[in-house]
Amino acid sequence: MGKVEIKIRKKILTPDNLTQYRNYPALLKKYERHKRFKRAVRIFLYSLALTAFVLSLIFVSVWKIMLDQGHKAAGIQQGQLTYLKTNGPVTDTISLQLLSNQATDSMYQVVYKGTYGRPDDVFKFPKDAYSNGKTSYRYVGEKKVVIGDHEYIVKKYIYDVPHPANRAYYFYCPEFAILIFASSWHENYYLQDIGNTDTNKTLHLLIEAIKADPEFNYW
Amino acid sequence: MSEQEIREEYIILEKSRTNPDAFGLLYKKYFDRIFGFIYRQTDDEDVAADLCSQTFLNALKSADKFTFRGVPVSAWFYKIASNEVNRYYRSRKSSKTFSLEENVIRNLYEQANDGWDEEMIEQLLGYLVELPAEMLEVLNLRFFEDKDFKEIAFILDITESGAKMRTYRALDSLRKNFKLKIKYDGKG
Repeated sequence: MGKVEIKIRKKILTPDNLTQYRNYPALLKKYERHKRFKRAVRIFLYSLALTAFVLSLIFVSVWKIMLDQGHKAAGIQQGQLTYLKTNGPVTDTISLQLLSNQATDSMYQVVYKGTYGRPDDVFKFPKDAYSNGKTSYRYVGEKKVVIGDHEYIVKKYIYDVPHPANRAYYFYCPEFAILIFASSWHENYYLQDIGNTDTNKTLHLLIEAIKADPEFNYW
Repeated sequence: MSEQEIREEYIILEKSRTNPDAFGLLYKKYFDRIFGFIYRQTDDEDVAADLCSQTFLNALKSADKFTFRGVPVSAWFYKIASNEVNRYYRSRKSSKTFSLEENVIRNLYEQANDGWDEEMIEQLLGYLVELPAEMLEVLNLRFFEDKDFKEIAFILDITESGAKMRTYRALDSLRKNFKLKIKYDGKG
């Protein structure tokens, strides 16, 4: 605080000459105005917070919808699938649990639960040759099969790894799941049962159609 | 002011939180004193009127924040008024003006000296001008507003011993050099 100026004044303030300044009603008016302003500010802030909340809800919903649109259900979504396992003359059945089967703009993603405590098996198949190179699975070709009045498309993929012994072929129908796994050491899996007798018939016809086309089923 | 009176005023202030009309009693009671306190530090009636009005408005706005600390409600008004005055000078960036009532100075002076001595009064003003503003604030509250040290401490946000020390230093020299009869023992 700096220096001050000191004055001596003769004028004495008395209650009478302060009457003109004493005005409680005016003070109350100011106070009411202040209260109204404060209330308006509070309402504005609450509205702002509410709007932000609603907008964030809308944003989350839209985002979720977009996410769902990005991963559309392809075929069967979940369930216990039974495969016929063949290795030369030896046959067996094996049960695999399908966890999801979804499609994005460029890929199909099929997930099976890992067996014997192993991690889940995730297959990422390109939709067409343009999308090759994004995963280790390479699109080879496809075959249209008409059953009744419905046309099914079966897509063929190769698990494209450098060592030929580790290569495998997959025949995938987006409306079902993987129809055939074919490994390089002659261990093959054919989808047999998806838990629905009528659909199983279609499934068997599809597999027969693949087997009957040597150009397509070559591996 | 007795403890009972202090509590009664506090009850009025509590009422004014829900009923602003109740605050009118305190306004009526303390308006003149707060006006005088501000006027002494501004030397301008219009400015004092504005700041006084703002002081009571601020007090009413924050009536719900006032907590009982054993000092009269008026001490809280003085505190707000003091802040308003400081804010006023900060915004104007000008030095503070204290205008002291001649009759009060004259009374004090003539009690200890033979008659009114203009030259001595000039010396007194010269002495006061040299005092730091915070000491003048303490003198103003102690000398013109008759506040005890507890209230001064509350108003200026300092400790009670700090208020005593400042008053003692400022008044000791006045008493010695100008023979003014100003008490600083805190008993009024």
